[in-house]
Amino acid sequence: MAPLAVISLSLCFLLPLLSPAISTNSEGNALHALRRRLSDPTNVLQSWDPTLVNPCTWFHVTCDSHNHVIRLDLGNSNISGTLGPELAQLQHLQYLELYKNDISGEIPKELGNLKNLVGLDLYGNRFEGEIPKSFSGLKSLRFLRLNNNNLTGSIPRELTALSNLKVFDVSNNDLCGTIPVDGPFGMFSMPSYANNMRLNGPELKGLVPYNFGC
Amino acid sequence: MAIATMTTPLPISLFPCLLLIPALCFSICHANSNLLCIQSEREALLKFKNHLIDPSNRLSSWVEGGDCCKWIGIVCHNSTGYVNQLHLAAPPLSEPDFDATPTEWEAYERSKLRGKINPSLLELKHLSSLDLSSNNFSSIHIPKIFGLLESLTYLNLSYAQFQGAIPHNLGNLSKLQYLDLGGNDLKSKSLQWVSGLSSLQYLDLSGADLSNATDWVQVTFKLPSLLELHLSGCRLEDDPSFISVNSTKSLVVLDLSWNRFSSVPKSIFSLHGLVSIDLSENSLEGPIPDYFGNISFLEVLDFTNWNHLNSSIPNSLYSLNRLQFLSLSGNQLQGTISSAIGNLSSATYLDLSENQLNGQIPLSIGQLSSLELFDVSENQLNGQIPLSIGELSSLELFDVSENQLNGTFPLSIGELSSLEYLGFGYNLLEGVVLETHFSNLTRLTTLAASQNRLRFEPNSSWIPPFQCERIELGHWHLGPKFPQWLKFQKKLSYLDISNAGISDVMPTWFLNLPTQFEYLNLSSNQLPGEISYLNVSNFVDLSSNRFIGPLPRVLPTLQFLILSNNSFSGSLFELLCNSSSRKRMEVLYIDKNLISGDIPDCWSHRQDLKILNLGSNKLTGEIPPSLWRLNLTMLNLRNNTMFGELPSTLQNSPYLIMLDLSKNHFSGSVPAWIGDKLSNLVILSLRSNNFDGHIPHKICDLQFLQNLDLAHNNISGVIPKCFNNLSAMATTNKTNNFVFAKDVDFYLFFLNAFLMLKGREDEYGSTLGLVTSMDLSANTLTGEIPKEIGSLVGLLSLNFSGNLLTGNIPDSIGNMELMESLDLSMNRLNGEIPPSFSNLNFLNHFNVSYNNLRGQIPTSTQLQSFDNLSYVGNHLWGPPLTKNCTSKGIPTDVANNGSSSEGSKVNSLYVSIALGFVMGFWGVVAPLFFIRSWSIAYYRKLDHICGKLYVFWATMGM
Repeated sequence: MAPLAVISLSLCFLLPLLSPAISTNSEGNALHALRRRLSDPTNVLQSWDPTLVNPCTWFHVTCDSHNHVIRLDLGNSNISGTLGPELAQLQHLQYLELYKNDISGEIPKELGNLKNLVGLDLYGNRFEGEIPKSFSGLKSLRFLRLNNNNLTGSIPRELTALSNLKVFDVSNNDLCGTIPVDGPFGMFSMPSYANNMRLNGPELKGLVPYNFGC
Repeated sequence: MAIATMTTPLPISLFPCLLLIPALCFSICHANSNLLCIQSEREALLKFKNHLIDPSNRLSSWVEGGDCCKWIGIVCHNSTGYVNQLHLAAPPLSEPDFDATPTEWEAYERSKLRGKINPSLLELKHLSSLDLSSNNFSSIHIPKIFGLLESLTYLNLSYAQFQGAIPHNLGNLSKLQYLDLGGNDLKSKSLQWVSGLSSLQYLDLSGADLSNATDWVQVTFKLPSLLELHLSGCRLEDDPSFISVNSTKSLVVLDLSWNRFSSVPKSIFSLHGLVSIDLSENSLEGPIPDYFGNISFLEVLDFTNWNHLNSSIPNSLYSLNRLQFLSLSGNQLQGTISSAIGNLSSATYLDLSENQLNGQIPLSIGQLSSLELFDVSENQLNGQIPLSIGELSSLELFDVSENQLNGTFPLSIGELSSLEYLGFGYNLLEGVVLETHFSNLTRLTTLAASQNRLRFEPNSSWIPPFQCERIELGHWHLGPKFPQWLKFQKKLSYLDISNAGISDVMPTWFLNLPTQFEYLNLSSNQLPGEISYLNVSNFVDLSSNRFIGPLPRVLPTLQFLILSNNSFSGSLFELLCNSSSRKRMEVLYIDKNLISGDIPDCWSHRQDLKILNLGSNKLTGEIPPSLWRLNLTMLNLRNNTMFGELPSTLQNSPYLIMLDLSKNHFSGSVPAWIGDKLSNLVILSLRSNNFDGHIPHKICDLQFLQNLDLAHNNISGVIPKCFNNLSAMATTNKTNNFVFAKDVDFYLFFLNAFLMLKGREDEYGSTLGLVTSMDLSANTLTGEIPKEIGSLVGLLSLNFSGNLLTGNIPDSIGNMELMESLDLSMNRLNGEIPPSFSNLNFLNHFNVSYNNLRGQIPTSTQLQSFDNLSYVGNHLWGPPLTKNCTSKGIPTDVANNGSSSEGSKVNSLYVSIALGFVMGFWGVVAPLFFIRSWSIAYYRKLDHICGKLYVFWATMGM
């Protein structure tokens, strides 16, 4: 990489001596794809220059020493739009913090491939649809906060396999069925489920289907 | 990129042809006549000549006693002998090119007539045509006597440097058909005088200040015979008091370019005969009015640049089958290009560049068989380049660069035998390019195709059919061999084959090509070996290769030399000191090489040098005194083994924007005059040196400072309270992504800097202008953290770790809402972590370990997302630490407490409920599966019970 770039005033064109215009970095591409889906009125993504070789100098993005993205911190950023399957490219991601924005649409089931994810905070948005069953693949997950969205359907029983889950919140959605009791779900208290009008109390295993009332 | 240098039809001008034909005829016919000119007219002409200044003696044939009808520039009537026409348009040669030599310009200027215009011209009673255009009557007014030349039908005073008010008596010339006053420095407060020109067919007042002539529509649109109206650059504005005009039907050409309209003047909607409309370079907003699609005779429509038209392209435009010239370049047009564009069957010039168009390039483009220019660059087009492009046999310029086009590079492009400019750089094209792609491109002069994913490895004996002046193939795969075919490019002056996978030795023929390179970019290949000289006149980038040996010799004209990231070795002496002539070098990057020795003290001849980066070499010694004779914008000496104190001569570099001396052995105190004398600093890094003393308060005066790094020194004392005056750190609105080094030739360079942020060192370039950071870590700073720090709300990164700071953490730090990285570890801070830290929702790197902090860690999504290491070595409790607390200050283990014991209570509840239900299942529930009518009634009941259970369970859980 050359150490600088030039902009010609007279012709207004960029001679990118510095950098490849098209990043060959798949994680950078995934984040750039995310950016294209989002509307960003307060310019929090202004530093996301797709021409850089990796996204490690982008604001709100954190890399490890191998330049893999491990955090995406965009809570409370006034962003709107939807998420897409490309986020699954961030294989080393540990924290996906998108809380308190105006993001809508479904939660991509591909997020379930993020095996290293520790914190997934999508609370305070306008997500709809179901909680993906694929989340059972988030083996490292400790924080799962999906509260204050418009999620429907039942709480997937597959989530009971998340043995590291410490914090779980799905309050203020439109979930139905019953509440799992196995695995980590033994220790979550009622406020985690509050304000889901069609959520019908703890699971009665063997007696009624878990999606009873959905 | 819009390039308008082609021989394409410019907005048409009909009238000159109409008038030139008779003029030519006159002069030919006259040659056979034997009539002598009228004596009084001859004397008048000589008098006229005597008041002119004629440096190139153009009027040498104008002599006493001669036949004035045979004088240069004179045409007499063939039967009466009266002087009929006076054509002194100067100069006979056309204006030199932009890059013409000073000698050519001088000859051009000398051929212009100057001086005064004598009233003796009034003697020429039969003068019908007068042309004094392109002369230099600098700073005189247009003489009023022209208004008395009653026979005039043609008057051309364009580009003759007249100035002042236009004499209104020109309006008396009722026979005048052609009036061109364009390109002078004129003004007119009203155009009422024009209404007298009842025969006028052509009117050009371009460049005149008509900002007060609000009657321009009223007057010009009513002229009964007017065919062509040019009011370009007349400072015309929207007329809020629009009055409908009973317009002439005759107007054919309307040029309102370079004015100040924000909407299309409604009055032109009443002109139904228009063939050419030029509204380029205004500031038009909103959609393109549908009106234009309804003028079925339209041939030229120009909305280029500065306008902000933001609609999609109206469908009605596509029905204009006489349209030859359409430019919508440089607007904000959205939507797709309709396939109906194929209906523009007369189009020769189609420029839609620099908009926000998306979708695909329609296949129907192939129907535009007359097309000479097609430019859709700088949009958001996707899909493939349509194969039908190959049918455009007249195409001279094809530019689709800076879009998101994918697919392969179509073979059919190779059929465009008229093509001179081929641009498709900055797209997503993939695959292999073959020799046959270029087989018929014999006229190609520019190939601008960088930044695609294309591979081109022609046979080593391939001889290109073209002779290009400019080739840009950056990021193509051209290697590993050096492209042999470049040997046959005899006119090449601009070459970019950067990042092309070339690992071959640079062949000797390459730097001995017949033309000298103006621009050469070979960066980011793996070119090995020594390079002794560079035959390049302006710009060289050889960075990121494997060059070794001494630095190459360069031409004295070279302005940009970039050799970063190679293995050049030896001293700087040859390159810098070997010639005493004044150098034009402005930018010198030799960072990341193996250069050794002292920096030589011979900078006085390099007064143009603005940017100097010698970082990461093996340089030693002190900073040479003469370095400060330069007006440097950027100085980077980081990561060498230099020493000594900062010389006081450094004060003479007031334009410094960036000073990076980090990772050396510099010593002494941080001078206070930095705040006074280097007031433009944006980046100051003295990291990892041996600086001592206090942080001078004057540093707070650096109002542009965005990045301050004094870490890893021996600096003592307190953190100045006045830091809140660092206003660039106190603002959250950053408008420029770049930090520009101003005044570098006519280029704007943006700077790069290595910065420690988020606990790691990275190079920031294209976003450096957005970064703000402060790092004072690993010094011996004492005292409290001033609460004023909290005003620096623009800071992204703050590092005070590894000092001797005491007291509480100021609550105000919680106001720094952009903060991503905060490190206060390894100090002697006490008290609690302020609850306000819960507001820091962008934190991604956080460390308060090894202080004397106590109390509960505040709760927020971010603060609990860091691991123990961020908090250890304190008396803190609460998540994420595994210690918890039953009463304040007494940590206990979380496993015996909190939610899990609560959980076990709930669990026993589940067990008992579940047990009861299982016991009853076969007695009560099982029959329900078999007896349908029971089942419905039961489930209704169960629903009710579940509701109750829920309430019960919820109470337990609280």
